[in-house]
Amino acid sequence: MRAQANARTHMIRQLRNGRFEKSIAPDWDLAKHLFDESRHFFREHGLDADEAYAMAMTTSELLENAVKYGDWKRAPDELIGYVAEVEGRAVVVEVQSPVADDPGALRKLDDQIQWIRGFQSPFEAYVERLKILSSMGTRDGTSGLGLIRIAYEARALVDFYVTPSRRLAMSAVYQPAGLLT
Amino acid sequence: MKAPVSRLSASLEIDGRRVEVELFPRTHLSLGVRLPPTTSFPVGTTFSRLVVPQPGGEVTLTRTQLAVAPTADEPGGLVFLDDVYDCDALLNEGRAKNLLGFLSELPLVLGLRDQIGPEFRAWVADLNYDLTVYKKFFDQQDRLFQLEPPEVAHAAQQALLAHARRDFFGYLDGTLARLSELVHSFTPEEHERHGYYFRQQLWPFIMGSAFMRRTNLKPRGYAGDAVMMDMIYDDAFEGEWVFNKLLHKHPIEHPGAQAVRNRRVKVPELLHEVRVARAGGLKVLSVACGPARELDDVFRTQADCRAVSITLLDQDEEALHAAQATVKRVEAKLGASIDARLVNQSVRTLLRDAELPSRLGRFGFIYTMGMFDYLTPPVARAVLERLYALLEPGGVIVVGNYHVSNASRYYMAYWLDWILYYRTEGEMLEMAGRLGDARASVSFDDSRCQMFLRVEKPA
Ligand SMILES: Nc1ncnc2c1ncn2[C@@H]1O[C@H](COP(=O)(O)OP(=O)(O)OP(=O)(O)O)[C@@H](O)[C@H]1O
Ligand SMILES: C[S@@+](CC[C@H](N)C(=O)[O-])C[C@H]1O[C@@H](n2cnc3c(N)ncnc32)[C@H](O)[C@@H]1O
Ligand SMILES: [Mg+2]
Repeated sequence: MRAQANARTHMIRQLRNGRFEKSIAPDWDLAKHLFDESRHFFREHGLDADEAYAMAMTTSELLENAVKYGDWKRAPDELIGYVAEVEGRAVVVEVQSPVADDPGALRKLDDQIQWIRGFQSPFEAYVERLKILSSMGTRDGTSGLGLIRIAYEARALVDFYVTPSRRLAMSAVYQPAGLLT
Repeated sequence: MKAPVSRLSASLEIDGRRVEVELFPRTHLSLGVRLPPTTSFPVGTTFSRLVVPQPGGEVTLTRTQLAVAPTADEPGGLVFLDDVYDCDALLNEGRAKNLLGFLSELPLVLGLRDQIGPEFRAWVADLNYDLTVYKKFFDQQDRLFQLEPPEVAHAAQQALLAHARRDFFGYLDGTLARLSELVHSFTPEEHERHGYYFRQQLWPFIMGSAFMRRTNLKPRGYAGDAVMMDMIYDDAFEGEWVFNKLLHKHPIEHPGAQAVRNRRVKVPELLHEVRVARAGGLKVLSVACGPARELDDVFRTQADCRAVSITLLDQDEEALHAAQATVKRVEAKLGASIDARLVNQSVRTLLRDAELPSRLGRFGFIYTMGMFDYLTPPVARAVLERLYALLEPGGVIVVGNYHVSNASRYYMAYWLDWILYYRTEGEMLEMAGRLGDARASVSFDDSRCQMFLRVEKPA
């Protein structure tokens, strides 16, 4: 995918502003639907096929995390909030889910986000993570690659905040090249 | 919550025969396995292959070992010895996605060299050559000085520094102008690739400069930690050798760093304006305070210490230690005590605390410098809204953010590996526009690298 992305260099185009919102139950099958819907949305709003795919992949990674790590015990009736948005030069995916009030875990996530975002080339974060992984072998069903994959493969900036109603809003922002401004 | 519960029939191969098994989800990188009741493989048994029939043909995985024995209720655990497979992908999509495959892709990605334009390569090679020559020359002088008594060595090095500086800084400025020409029309992806290549090539030089070493290695996990900020504020030569001293000082004199020193002066000015306009005491909140060096100008007199109270918030406790040290120093200088409070918190999680406004109180002046540059739009918006809610009527927020046309942008990205979320005036105002009744304006610092968004809450 990255090799193909190179072909986009210097192309001039215009995106169409728009917003797509949906709330879903924390269910894998429902989440799968959003892969296609988001891909369609981004295609419709001016991203090329590779970019729209990358944003759909991003959608999946974030939804998977929301299902996996959401505090559904505390808030079994809450839904996952999903937003896809094109605004100006920012293409955004945001996923909200209930979060446990665990300062240690949030601190770790904050550090991880800063670490991933800290390098000019997410490739460095990616390679570092793979090295750790391959030496570590298996561990409790997580590889810790999801967010890095968003940074590296979709070239989007991951970030998050916690809302006063204790929901974690995790987002990825992609800034397409070659926009008419 | 419903997890994927796909099971698969498959066969394990051992000593040339096939054993029919069933696979279950276990962990991301391992499989659950149920073996035929007629078999009794001990833990540690290694199978040469795992073959999974799929509609599109067989999928074959490499050597796997029974790591956990199956019980009557639980499947056993299979781990892979030669590769790291994404087992979710296997069960859900029937794909053998080998995570180490990325490693075998590495040469390809590392062959990134081939995707570096010839002009850029030639430029980096020349730069490398020139820097090597400069370094050799300066190092020779340094070695010569070392043979002298300390006072002689010191004087000689100062003379060399003064001389070399003019020439070498001029040279570096020229290379930065050229860098800008070469990369200004790059896509973000091209920047990443060329920046990576650049730093690989110049790594030994980068490691010599105290400032560049720190921005690249990021020992606190992010660029812009309190030590880096102190280096910028101190604006001094650091290191033993002339070459390293110069390569430390040059980026610190560049407009992007000058903008940091400018805001150190600008923020207290804005603060005192608000203070005069509002009469009475002023409660101040500094968000992402870092070493808080501006406190020297916030508290200039004992009267300032009586009138102004300050809450210093930062995610990094080392930054708070540095801020605390600044408070102590200013207190000692003025012979007065400052009403200062330290809060160790990230703005990302600040919002989760509904009690916060009542705990912190409200503020007449809130400022945050060198932080919004790290927040993406959705997060920046949410944080600004939250800070606005902490403002008293008539209060003011000032938010610093580097401008898209920051003159040090490529210097920072390529040499320092220091990446910011740059914004335009329009984007700053748009953010403020969401605050309803707020009055907003944008100004620049003298270097024009940095903007200040000023938001005032109606009284
Ligand atoms: N929505 C969320 N709520 C709470 N914690 C989260 C959320 N999303 C991510 N995290 C935390 O961030 C960590 C990193 O997530 P990431 O997607 O990078 O890796 P992973 O889910 O552990 O592994 P992988 O995605 O490769 O299966 C998670 O392990 C989890 O601790
Ligand atoms: C570039 S320094 C600026 C420090 C200071 N404001 C100055 O101008 O000197 C960035 C500071 O922001 C802090 N910071 C970064 N992200 C933060 C976050 N999410 N919440 C709180 N502080 C943060 C860092 O710990 C660091 O001390
Ligand atoms: Mg994940």
